[in-house]
Amino acid sequence: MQRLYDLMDHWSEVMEIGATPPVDDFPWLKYIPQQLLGNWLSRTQQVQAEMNSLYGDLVRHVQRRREQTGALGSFVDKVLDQNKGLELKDHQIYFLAGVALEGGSDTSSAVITSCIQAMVQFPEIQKKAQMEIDAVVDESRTPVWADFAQLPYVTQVVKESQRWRPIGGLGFPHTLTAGKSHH
Amino acid sequence: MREEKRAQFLTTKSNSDQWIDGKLLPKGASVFINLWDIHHDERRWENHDEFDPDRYAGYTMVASEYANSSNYDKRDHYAYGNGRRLCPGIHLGERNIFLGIVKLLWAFRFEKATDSSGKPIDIDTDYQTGYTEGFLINARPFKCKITSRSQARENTIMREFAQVSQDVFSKYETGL
Repeated sequence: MQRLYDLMDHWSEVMEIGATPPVDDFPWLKYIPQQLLGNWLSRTQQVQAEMNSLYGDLVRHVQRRREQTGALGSFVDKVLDQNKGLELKDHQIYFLAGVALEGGSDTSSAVITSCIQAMVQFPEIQKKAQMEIDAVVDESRTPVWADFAQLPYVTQVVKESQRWRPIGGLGFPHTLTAGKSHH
Repeated sequence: MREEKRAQFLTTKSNSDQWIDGKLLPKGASVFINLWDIHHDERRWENHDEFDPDRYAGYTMVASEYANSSNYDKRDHYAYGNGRRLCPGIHLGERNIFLGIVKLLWAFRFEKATDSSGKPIDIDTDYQTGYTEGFLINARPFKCKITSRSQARENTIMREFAQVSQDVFSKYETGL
């Protein structure tokens, strides 16, 4: 986990707007010594090495375990089970699994943290949400996804958290195809 | 600094010349999608900085349902981005976040912490000063008081944790 958090810190620093020169838009920037541009190349290559090493180690661990004791139905197990048809290369499998790990952790926790902040700040909204939950789920079990449809106010709280304090842009360049309408 | 924080954006690129609202986007131009402004546009979100879940009354489907709609006026929010490069984790994220929040609210009471004289300690919820800069915007650490809502709820949490440890976690390796 520590390796994941370290690499996410480093990656976030690289991806921060302004931290890396826009070399895809202005390729001539690649000819400027990187020392003048915040050592963007070394920092990017460090993240590349960290991702390859961590994601590769985790997938190889599953591969070894499958050889020794067999499949366990994890996400990577399922990808490997189907890989006869998919024929993904090792590197693609590393990133399929690694991105799920990376993209699914700090994003969700950031939304949950701003929601908690809102709940502290606006106790009457917290109370209303808890009254809704208490009418659907008693003390003998915690709420599950099957309760979703019965908890519209909680859903509204979640959506408002995502609007009120957006956790930020996943600032990856996109490419639009011709004729695509734009908002 | 204010400008910087407001410029949380997604970037996108045009493959052909396009006219939008009377402005030409030449082929290959980078387009920045400012997520802060989209979510705090007074024309759609009155009193935009107020936390008000009632804005979403009647908007209670999962985000992917709205993202798939062709009517952008009916989008709930753009937290997962937009278009063909919409976050592929949207389905996982919706479930993850909902379950995280609903279980916390079921289990705990969240209140302001108090100082030594018993006065509540205010939280800085300001997007400029109370939140981090960067690629992913996080609340800066803040003080609060979290207590369990009842002993019965604590027992349920411990019982479910033991159950899931046995049924699920024990199958997999730990400490990798």
